[in-house]
Parts: sequence; C-alpha cells; structure tokens
Amino acid sequence: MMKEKIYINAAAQIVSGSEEPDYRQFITPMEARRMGKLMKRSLATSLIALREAGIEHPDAIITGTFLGSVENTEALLMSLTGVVDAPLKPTNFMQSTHNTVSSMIGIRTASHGYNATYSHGLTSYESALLDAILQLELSEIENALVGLSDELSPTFEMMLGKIGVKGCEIASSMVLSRKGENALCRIADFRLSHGKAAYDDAQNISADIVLEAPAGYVDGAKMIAQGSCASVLVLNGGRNFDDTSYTLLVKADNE
Amino acid sequence: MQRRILISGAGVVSAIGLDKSQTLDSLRAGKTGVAKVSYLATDRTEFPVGEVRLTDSQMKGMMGIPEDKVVTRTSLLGILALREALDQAGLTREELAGAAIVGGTTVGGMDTSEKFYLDFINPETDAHSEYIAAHDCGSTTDAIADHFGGFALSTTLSTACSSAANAVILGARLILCGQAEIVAVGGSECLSSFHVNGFNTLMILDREQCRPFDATRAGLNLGEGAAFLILESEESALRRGVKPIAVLSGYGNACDAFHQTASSADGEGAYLAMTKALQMGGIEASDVDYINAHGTGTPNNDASESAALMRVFGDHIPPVSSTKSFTGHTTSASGSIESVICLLAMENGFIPASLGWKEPAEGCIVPVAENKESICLKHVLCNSFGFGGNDSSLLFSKP
Repeated sequence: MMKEKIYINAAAQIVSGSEEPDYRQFITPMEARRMGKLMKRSLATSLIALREAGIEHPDAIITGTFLGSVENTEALLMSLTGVVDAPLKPTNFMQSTHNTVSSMIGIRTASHGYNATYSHGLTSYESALLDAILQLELSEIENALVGLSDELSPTFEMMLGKIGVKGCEIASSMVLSRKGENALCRIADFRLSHGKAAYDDAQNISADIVLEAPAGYVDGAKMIAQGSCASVLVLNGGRNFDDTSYTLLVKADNE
Repeated sequence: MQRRILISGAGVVSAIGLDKSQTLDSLRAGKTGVAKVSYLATDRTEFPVGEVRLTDSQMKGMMGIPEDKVVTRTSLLGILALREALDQAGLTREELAGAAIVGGTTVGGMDTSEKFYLDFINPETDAHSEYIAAHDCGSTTDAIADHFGGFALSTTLSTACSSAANAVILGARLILCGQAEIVAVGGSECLSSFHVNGFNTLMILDREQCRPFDATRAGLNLGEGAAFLILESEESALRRGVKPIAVLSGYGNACDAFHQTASSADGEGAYLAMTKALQMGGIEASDVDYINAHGTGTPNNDASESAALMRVFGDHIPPVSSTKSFTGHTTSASGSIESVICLLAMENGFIPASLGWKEPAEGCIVPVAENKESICLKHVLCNSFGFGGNDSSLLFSKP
C-alpha cells in the first residue's frame, strides 16, 4: 500500500520484566500518585521517543490498546459487584476509558493535532499504525507518535488464561515521519486483514509489517509476545538510513 | 478533498426508533425516548435513560441468531443498524467480501462482564467463560462483521464519546488512500451499570430530562444504540449504479489537550475540529445550514462548545440543535447516530428541535427550540466530543 516513503525515526518501549526508567525525569511525585503503571510507562516511552526524534508537538498521537487500564477497570468492577466494599472512584472511571493514554500525552505535550485510540484485540497496535500510515500517505500530517499500551493484573491474567489468551504488559512508542534523515528504518509495506465467514469458527486475522533497514544498523527488530498482545518491534541503535539494504519482514498471525 | 466519499446506506437504532423511518417519525413528532430505566438491571433508577426498547433475546430473534450464541448487546445493536445500512446500499456478498468495517465502542461487552464478573474471577469455575472473549472492544466489531460474513478489514476506534465519528474518519481515509472501495463505519454502545455508575461519580447525570444549552441544564442522560453508514468511492457507486444519500465532504479531529474529562473554556479542540472539517470541505462557515451539536447538557460541555461555535461562526451562527434530549447521550455511538439524524434532516428538509430547551444561558448559543420544516439543508456539520478532549466534526453535503 505504500506510495510515500515513511520512516521510523525513534522508538522506545518497556515490556514486562524490562528495566523501568527513572520516572522522576518525566513526572512529579504528585502526578505519579494519580497515574497507574500503564500511564506512567506510556508517558515515559512517548517522551523518550519524541525527544529522540526532536519533536515537541507531534502532528498525530495514536495509541493501540487491547484492554486499556486493567487496574482501573478492575477496581470499578470489584466495587460494582461488591467484591470490595468501597465506593466507585471518579479517577478509576476516567482512567478506565481506553483513550486515556493518548489524551494524557496530548495534554502533557500540549498537542492539539489528531488524537485517537484503537482497541481491536490483538491487532490494536497495527490499527494505530494503519491510521498513521494513511495520514502520512494523504499528507494530512508530517509525523505521528504511534504507541501500544497494555497492562495486566493477576486477576485479568487468570481470566484471560481461561480462554487461552496469554496477555503481556507493554508500553511502546514510535515516531513515524515522512522525513528520514536520521531514521531507524523505513516501513516498506504494511498489510492488515480480517477474514471470517458468517458463523464460521475459524477467525483469521493477520498483520504484516515490512521494514527495510541497513544491516548492522537495526540490531534488533523482533516481535514481543507474538499471539498475546500484538507484534511489537524493538528497534535499537541505528542511524544513517540507506534504503538499498535488506528487507526485514515482521509477521504476526493471530489465529 | 481529492476523491468524493459517498454515503450509499445508513442504519440506526436508538431509544427513538429501531430504524430510520421510526427515528424520523419521533424527531418530527418531538417525541423523546428518554424515560425511567426499565431494561438495564441497575439500582440507579433515579437517572432517566434512553433505552432501545428490545431485549437481547428479541434482537436475536429478529436477526435469526441462536438464543444460546454469545453475542453481546453492543454487538446486537450494531448488527441491527448495519443490516439496515447494508440493505439500503444493496451490497452483494461478493461486494462485502472486499469491504472494510470500522466500528467504535468503549463499553464493548461490559454489560455481560459485570453480570458474570464473579465467575470470571473465580479460578475454580469455567461458568460463563465464553463471555470473556466478548469483553473487549474489538470483539464487538468482529461480532458485528462476522454476522454478515465478508469484510477484508476490521478495526475499532475507542475514543470515548467520539468513537463513532472517528470511525467515519478512518473509513474515509481508507477510501481516499485507495485501500477500500466500500467501508461500513459507525459505532455501537449499550447501557451498562458500569458506565451509569461511572458517569455518576463525575456528577454529570441529570435526574430530569436533559436540556442542552438551557440556563437550567444540570447534566446528561445516558442512552444506547448504534448506527452505521456505508461509505463508498464514487467509482464503486457508479459501477454499482447506486444513488448516494449524501457526501462526506469533510472531517476534522483535534485534541482539546486540556483535561481528562473537562472541556476548555475557549473550546479549542472543538474549534479546531470544526475548522478542519470546513477547510477540507472547501466551504465557508456561512455555507453551513445546520449543526447537530455534541450538546450533552452538562454545564461544561455546552459552554465550551458554544464558545467554539462563536469562534468559528462569529455573529452568524447557523441553526444548532442537540438531539441528545431525544436519544440520551449514546456515548460511543453518538457520532454515527447523530450523523444519521443529519442525513435524515438533509433528505427530508427539516431541522430537529433541541428538545427541552426553554431559557437562554449566559455564554451559550441559542438552539433551535422547535422543529423547522421545509428547509433546504445543503451542508450540515455534526459534532462529537469525547473524554480526553478527543473532538471530531463531520461535514455532510447534499450529493
């Protein structure tokens, strides 16, 4: 689908078990108290990626999330169903809506541009990426901050386990741009598809992201948690993009 | 806009009707669907709501879905609305196979999750586990899509109360980019105890029928429903010999970037969204014949939206009304439900009243208080704003 050249200029992410950054760089202790781990991590990866890309106010902020803030949703459900004897808190409700992360980044970076959130199961991140690519193709924007945010709680993990879904925690941010002087790599192709006949149990959703990058510059472009959260690219190092090098195909089949 | 985005079908279900014809009748008769809660199981009976007058079983019966099949209320409402839209567009199975669907929801399967939550979190039982997979937003759109089969691409926007409007925008982009010829776009949301109680914590629910832009307005009434539009490229419509209902001539999405649940005093996000939509449509503010406002009835939203309207339209604000006093605030579905209301207004040459409005409020626009008939509407703007300042505006024009 790619007519325009679209580059990934910066990326940052935090996954389960990886080292957490020093949040004091990004948020005050007072803010931290009101933010769950999902918001803290997503704010950190967003601000790191924007800083590396040298962008203060991205033209678009687009986030994908499978379940949004599980901590806040769970707190509300526990209270509603009487599992805990506590009144519902407005903060829990505000932060349980899936667009909390995108809008928080908008508020934090004072960005009045395009702002959206996708929640489409295992292809939430790819949906966000699709939107960004379409806007870059249509020249509606010059750059976009695209992210994936998900968190887990022991209860949600057990719940998902009952239907054979292995969740994972992730905050991932990338800056996409039509300018690629210092790009990590170029998105060479992108496809997202859905196919299922009426009342057919076999669901087939696939997403292909084709990246081109010079060998040696991108030392790690691999998928995290395939079949659990989404395909997420870990991009390290690399500058001085030269698009004549090799093609790397990252493929996610969530069946 | 490089290519024209045509609308070849529309379907709607809400508290004021199970299809376009019933919706039109209610709008023209000034008949609200907001009433005391009777379908949703909740203790919060003090807040009037706009419920779709059908049980889940009745909807399953209407659409030939087996009673024991797991399909949540949000999906059922969506299927009902999409069926009407697809019928009008006259799409064949083959044409549907290459089409895309973009849904919008926030609640998703929350109504069943809250009902079966104690089983969900009990590791000792598998009871109702089949509903766990229907909890998330995306599964709602997939269930709507899969009822009809086909659809080469399915995705879901979740930007709270502007979800459906943003689904319309993504659908348009897919066509503009040549990624799809036909896209079903819309949103669906059922009432749940989760969001009735959630909105109550923010203290923005009115115990009376809501009165958008009125001096005595005291909050919103929640509602439920769904609506879908069929967006189609001009080439495809010509090839199929379909007469478009309307043209989506512009769209705008902007972020208020002010507060998680409150709107800024100057309505910056709303102002930018409307301005972008007009720019894209290549029309002047003075060309707009009617605005279907977001107009929730909360003191904050209506003041902020009024400020934005005054900035865009100056002293010549076109007729504005909020139809939320008819349907209740259908949250994620409101963008598409109100889009269909705009299309009905355009097609039938009338402006629906802002029901319940009596007294002008300081700093607020004065909405249309009684239906206006025999009016030619060439360009109509439809506003949808969500938590987090996710503000979107859609511009519809006569074909």
